[in-house]
Amino acid sequence: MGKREWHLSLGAALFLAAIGIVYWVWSGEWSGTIMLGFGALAYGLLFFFILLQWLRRHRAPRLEDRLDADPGEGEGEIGYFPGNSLWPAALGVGAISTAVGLAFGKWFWAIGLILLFGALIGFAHEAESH
Amino acid sequence: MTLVQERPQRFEQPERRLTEFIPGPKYKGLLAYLTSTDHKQIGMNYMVTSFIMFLIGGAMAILMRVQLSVPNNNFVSLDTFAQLFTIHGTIMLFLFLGPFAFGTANYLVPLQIGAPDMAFPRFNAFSYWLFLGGCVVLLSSFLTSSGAADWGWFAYAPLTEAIHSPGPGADMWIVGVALAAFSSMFTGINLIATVFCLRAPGMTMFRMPIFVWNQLITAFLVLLAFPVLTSALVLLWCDRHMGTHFYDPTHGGQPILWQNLFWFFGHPEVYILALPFFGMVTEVIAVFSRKPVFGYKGLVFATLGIGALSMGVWAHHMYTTGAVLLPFFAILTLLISVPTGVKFFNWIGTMFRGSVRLETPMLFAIGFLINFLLGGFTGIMLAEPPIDFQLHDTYFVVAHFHYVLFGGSVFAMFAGIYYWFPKFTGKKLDDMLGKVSFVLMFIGFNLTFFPQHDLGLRGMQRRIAVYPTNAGWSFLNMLSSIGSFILAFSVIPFLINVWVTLRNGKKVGPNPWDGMTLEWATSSPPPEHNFEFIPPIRSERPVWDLNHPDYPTLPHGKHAKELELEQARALAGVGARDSTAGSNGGNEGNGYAAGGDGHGGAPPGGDGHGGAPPGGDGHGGAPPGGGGHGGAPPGGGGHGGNGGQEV
Repeated sequence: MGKREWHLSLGAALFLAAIGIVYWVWSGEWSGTIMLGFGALAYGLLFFFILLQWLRRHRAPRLEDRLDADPGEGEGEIGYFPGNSLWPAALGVGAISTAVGLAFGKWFWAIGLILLFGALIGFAHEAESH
Repeated sequence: MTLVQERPQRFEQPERRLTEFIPGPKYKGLLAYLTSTDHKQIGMNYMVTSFIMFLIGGAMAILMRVQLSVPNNNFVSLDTFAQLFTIHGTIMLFLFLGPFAFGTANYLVPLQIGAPDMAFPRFNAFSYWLFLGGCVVLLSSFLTSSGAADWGWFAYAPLTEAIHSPGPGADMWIVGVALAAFSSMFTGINLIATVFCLRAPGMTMFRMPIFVWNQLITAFLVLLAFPVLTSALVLLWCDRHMGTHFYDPTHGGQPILWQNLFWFFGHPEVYILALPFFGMVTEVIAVFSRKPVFGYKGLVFATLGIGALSMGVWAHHMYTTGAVLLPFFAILTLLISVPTGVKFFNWIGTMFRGSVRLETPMLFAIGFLINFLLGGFTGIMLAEPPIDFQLHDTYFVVAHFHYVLFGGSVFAMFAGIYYWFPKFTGKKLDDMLGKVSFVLMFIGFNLTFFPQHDLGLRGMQRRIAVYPTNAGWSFLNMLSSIGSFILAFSVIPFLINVWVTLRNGKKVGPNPWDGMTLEWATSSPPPEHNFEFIPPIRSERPVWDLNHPDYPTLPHGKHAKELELEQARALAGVGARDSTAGSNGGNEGNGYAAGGDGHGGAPPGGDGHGGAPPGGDGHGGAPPGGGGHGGAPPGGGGHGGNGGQEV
């Protein structure tokens, strides 16, 4: 990812850190300080990840970061885009049942967890077989 | 109407190939719905589901307005009323506006940046199922013996403790909202990955359409806000089931902690519900004014500013608790009005001296500007603690956020629906029915919510189900209820319009509005993996550059400086009018469209070749392909025949 991307994440992290410090000094209130602080850390994580990617490419711009790149230059593999798959729906039903178990009887968990793990295995297996 | 149907010939460059494309089994009907990982199908699922939720939430609003239309009414019981306003708010905020925005993001962001799909297609499908599960769980809570949750959409502690709100309906609210929250987080992650990693070559960050920018910033906000909400919900669930006392004041818990956590989510959430719709309006205004977005970078930075500031203003919902640092939150909240004002300036600047076409999407966009301005003003008022102390939890606040979220976001949503419907289906919604729908909606909306400002000033609290005859609120409430019926009725022409268009509408081709951004380069609806070819991207409006090769490519913010003096003179004289085919000529007035300044999007050192054909023959040869074209014709004279690509 390019430099604009890490600029963006760094900006978000720095802004949150700055207002977090101001908020802490001014109000001394804990919950807001912690949320702002962890928000800054979260964006900071994103920033470091993108920065590492960028440095690993020796700061070379990708095609999408170059002003003069043509669509034709992007020929080749873009990524893995799976076709139709039933697993997301199965995973969804499993996750929903598990969640409903939090509100209703615990027996929902039995259905939910079986579906969830079954679907997870199917999901992973599908990617593996590719 | 200008239709650009004829596309210049394809480029010599090889197409962008998808080597990793596993077709998978082809399904139809229900199975296609269940198994699709295509971002367009998922986006459509999101949009349709959340629109149904909009209708359900709207029906609840009508029930409430009937109850409130006359004093001492007994249309619904007090308990039902509490459930209605709770679920109305929850649906509209968690299950309608946000998911609708994500639906459009799913459908349009990959198209606008030239990507074949979202970055994680199956993950994307999974988030849709979580959202649908949230809808089902939340709605089915009405079927439990204790009814749905009745604590208002922000679920203040300690009312949410098990002892005050027993029953499974309340738990289902928690679960439903948590599912929707997880769905939003996953979509946010997906969107950021898509925008960062799957853009087409040449689509730099500062060439992305404003809509994509807004969705990206929204996704950033989602990543910050929703984890806080889900953790707050987990704590709440523990309070109710595990015997903890996070929010329970009788055991040393802190109700104010819930408020802090909830609003730390809740305020970015408001912008999550607004920014994507600002993006839609920006696209619509630019296309229907036939001008590039005015102050592109300014708009991007304004949106960034709004997004950043929105993270630090959560406690302005809590002024009256007496437990927050008033000046800090008042200052940051008032600061938000600055970038918002910049956005208004840009929207108006985009329309200014453009050739504005008042078709339905543009009407809704203008309606958005008017309503959102009013909502913004009352927002600035409420940001000031002295005013908020007077008006907190009155109908003034209700009017304020409906002006922002309905008058703003929903009007923008309809602008977006009318604008992109040809892309979604290949057919254009009927303009006349659309205008009828707009007029009804605009009148109905303002009649419903404008009187509520006054009701709030007269002291009517939100969430009350009955009020006495002598309170002086009767007339305004009746007015508001009449308005709400008009408002509800205004959706009917829209639904008829969709029905009739889907059945009988005729195909309008890939680019009926003469659009500017990449989604109009592909067919309508787009094929699997979106693009058969991608035009070269030299500015933030590649399709316009492709279709109007005699117009200069405009990198934002530089055109004025780089124009030679003579060219500036020439276009002042010559470029003023172009009689060709009406609308296409209307662009001259804005000063930089006329003539060829020829600086193009060429990067420094790019091998700019005179790619653009002389303006005289309009569609000429291949549009500028290689590295940055430099050679639009000098002077303003090149306009004669740009009717060449007009049909």
